[in-house]
Amino acid sequence: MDTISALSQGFFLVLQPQNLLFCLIGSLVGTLIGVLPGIGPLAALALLLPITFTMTPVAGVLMLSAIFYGAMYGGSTTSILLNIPGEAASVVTCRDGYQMARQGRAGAALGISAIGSFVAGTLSVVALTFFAPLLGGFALRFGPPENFALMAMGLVCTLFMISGSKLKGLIMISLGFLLATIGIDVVNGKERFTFGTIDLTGGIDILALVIGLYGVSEILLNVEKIIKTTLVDTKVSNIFPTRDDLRRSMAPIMRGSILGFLLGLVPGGGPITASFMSYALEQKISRNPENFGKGAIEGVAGPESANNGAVGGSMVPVLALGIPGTPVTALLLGALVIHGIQPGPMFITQHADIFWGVVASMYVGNVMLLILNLPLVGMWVQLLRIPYRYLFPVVLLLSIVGTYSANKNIFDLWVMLGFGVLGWFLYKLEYDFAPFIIAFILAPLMEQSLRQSLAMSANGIMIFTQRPIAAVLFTISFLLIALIVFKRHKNELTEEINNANKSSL
Amino acid sequence: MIERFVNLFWIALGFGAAVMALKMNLSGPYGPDSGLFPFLSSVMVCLSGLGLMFDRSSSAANIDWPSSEGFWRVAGVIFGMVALIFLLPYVGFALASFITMIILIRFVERVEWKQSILLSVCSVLSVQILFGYLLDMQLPRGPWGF
Repeated sequence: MDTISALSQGFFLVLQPQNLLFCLIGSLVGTLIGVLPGIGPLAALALLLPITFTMTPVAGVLMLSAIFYGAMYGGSTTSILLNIPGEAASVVTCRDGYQMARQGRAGAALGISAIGSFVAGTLSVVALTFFAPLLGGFALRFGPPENFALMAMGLVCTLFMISGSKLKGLIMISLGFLLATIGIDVVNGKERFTFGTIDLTGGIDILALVIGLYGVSEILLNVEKIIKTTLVDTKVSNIFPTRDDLRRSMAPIMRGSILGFLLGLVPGGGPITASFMSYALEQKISRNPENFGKGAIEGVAGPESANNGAVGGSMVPVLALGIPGTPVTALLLGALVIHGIQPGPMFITQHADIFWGVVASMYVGNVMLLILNLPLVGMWVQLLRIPYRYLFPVVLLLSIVGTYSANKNIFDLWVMLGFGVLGWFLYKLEYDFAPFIIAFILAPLMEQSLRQSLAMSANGIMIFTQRPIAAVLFTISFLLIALIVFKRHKNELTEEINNANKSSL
Repeated sequence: MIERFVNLFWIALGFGAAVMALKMNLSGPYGPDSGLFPFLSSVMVCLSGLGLMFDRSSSAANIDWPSSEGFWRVAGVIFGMVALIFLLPYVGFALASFITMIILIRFVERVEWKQSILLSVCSVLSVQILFGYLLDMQLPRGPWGF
């Protein structure tokens, strides 16, 4: 079946009234999550995941994906109007978006952000349509050693991309692995780290963990301070950018789309990195870099396109290979597993309906979001008037409902609270949870691949050097590790030289 | 100082888990056994913790601890959640959530009584109706059936 006819079948599936409704609900909820500060797309996905248990896998995955890209659209609204990013990928939009709003050009900033998001979202889905099946086809040659090497490389890439301490990132990956092994070993039924309690035999529930780390800890971080919502005085009017705005934004939108898609492909890249890199790129190549930070429309158009482009890009490895590059795609992968679908290279051939349904839904969702974002900006702005002190208790209630409804188990609520407090504490110490979530989700597949590889090998771990694809993937991983060490050494040297210069002055 | 304790904890955790993993056997008659993957993960935790102990550049530059008022607010939210989870099996979702909402809105956020009660009732009712009835998710019920 060729790509176009498969895609048309995907559209046929998505355009069924029920699926269309879930796509609309997902887009609306995603935009709402993006607009409201204090709750991110990952926590929202985890909260709403139990609702999808009663849906068909297509409808469930379709709605969860819509929340993901909807949040990227909505995130810019608070950045532009309040100087508070609705989600992390919109942090950089604050710089010029808020300045534009202060200059009375909030409408133009919101408009160009929506248009850029639409263009990038659509282009990245076109690329996803053609690229993912190619990659999936290639990955059909993979056996357990190649799968293990690929997942290991994904985690090394994640480590390479995170900002902050790589050692802390490594601890998070190792802890993710370790916690994932709690429960009964599916191969031989042995209990691992259960300490004789029945509650731990099923392992740590992914929803309790994600809602705790990204929902509860976020609330604890926010309630520390009294958040006062102050809207920019400027009325949001004339949301359609001028011809000059469009002319200046077109190239940044195209560059942002391409950069975003490519960075989305890399594990650990994703929307946040894409938006920052796009801003840096636009500032570097601009003829007037001094205007950045003072309301340059290019500083809104580029990053907002990049973070939406990255959504399409980040869906490629998860759908084609079963390798998540961001915590959100890791949770989407978890959702597929909960729905009884095994992700991996066989996914596109075995579950063509879901794959093409998700791809088609992204086209439809992008159109829906453009329609929702431009005319409904006023409504989203009104929602921002809800004080945080009224909002967070409701989010806490939703966290309880979301966690409990997965297994109907009170123990999961204690786990959620425990991870919430731990997350709050570790956030203070600058630990990044993205590698932890990705490792936790990949661990069962990695363990299975490792055990299968060693069981089929006559020479132990040498099997990873004897299989060409695995060997290449491991070589790339080692090169990345060497690069991390080299960069670190170089930074230390620079710091020492700077200190020596300071002391000699 | 606090980071040193955390790093020590990682080392102890990794070491303890590695010892337990060894008891699960690293390899068996059919190849790798249950203990192999947890053992490797534990060793990684232990070694990374050791690395952090000796690596000053990995320490958080400025730990942004909350003010004493902020601490109390965080403690209030945690207490509210503990109360909710503890009460949930005995009094059901509706009452346990109502009590927690009151703790959070009245005592943590210092909103006046009337408004706190109104807000708590409205939020609990909407969550109960949406999830408990419309979406048919089974939420814990108290002795009075809700």
